[in-house]
Amino acid sequence: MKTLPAAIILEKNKIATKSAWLILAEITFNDISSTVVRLARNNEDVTFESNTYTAFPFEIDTINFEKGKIPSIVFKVSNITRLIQTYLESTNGAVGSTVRLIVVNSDNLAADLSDLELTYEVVDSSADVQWISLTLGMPSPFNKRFPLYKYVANHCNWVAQFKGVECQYAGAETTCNGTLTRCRELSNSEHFGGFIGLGKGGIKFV
Amino acid sequence: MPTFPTLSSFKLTEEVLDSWEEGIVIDPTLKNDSEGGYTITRSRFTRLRKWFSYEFPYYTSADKATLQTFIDSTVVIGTTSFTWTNPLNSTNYTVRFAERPDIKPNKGTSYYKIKIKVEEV
Repeated sequence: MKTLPAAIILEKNKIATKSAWLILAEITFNDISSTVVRLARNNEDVTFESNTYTAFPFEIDTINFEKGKIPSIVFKVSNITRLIQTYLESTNGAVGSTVRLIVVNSDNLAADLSDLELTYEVVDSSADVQWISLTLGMPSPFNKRFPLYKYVANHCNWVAQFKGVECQYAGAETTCNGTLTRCRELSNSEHFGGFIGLGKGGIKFV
Repeated sequence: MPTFPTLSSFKLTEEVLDSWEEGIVIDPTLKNDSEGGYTITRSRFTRLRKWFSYEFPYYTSADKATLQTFIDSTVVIGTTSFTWTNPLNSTNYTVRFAERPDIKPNKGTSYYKIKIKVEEV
């Protein structure tokens, strides 16, 4: 059961108060540096947990319960300035990024509000001149690749991320065709991402 | 950020004070009437944005031209914010034009009557 601090319960039960219930959003993009963008649905910046949440227009739609689909929420961020769109373009549409939504009370920002937080994963995104729409929800197991990699004898699984963390090649070459021959040329065959044992000949253990 | 131009013909006259109006751009009050006969009120956001409106009828042609350039080229009506000094208390505000300033010739004189309405961004 969710519990709220006493100060928040008192504030919630007041008939009249000047405090505002604000929604904060913390978007952690799935880029290399895990860029974090903090936004506040307010007309001035909000400092919460020592972080500044920038006043920025965003909207949250109601939860979408469609038969046969995983429930999702559309989180819309203003795209007038194209500020967030640059992150979308550099992270393949931000799919896989996380969005943390926090409800805070403007007069009780130091209160423990961990029960008023929800964390979602971005499962889809779209952008137009007015809004960026991020569909938040649980990742669908049907969209997951299984098995995770292709098992091919002479084709490296890491070729798309040449010089990436799995490839680990750190030399001067800029291209790779994904073959073992090329990998040997680059003296990097120990990190070859193919499955040589699946080729013709040799011994197979099943 | 651009700054509202200094218009040498502007003076804090009785006409300015008579036309002076100011208020809040959006009332933040959220109100919910209940079946029990009481009303619950909250604030929607935390900052109150103000607007100011005033009219001065004796701007010279040079000042009118300066203002016109500022409106049409520098800030392009309400698109860009600028720094404006409240002539009543010399406080600086970051504002935009809430509506296009109303510029009219002052009948029977060589001056221009200009109404300005600005709002905090």
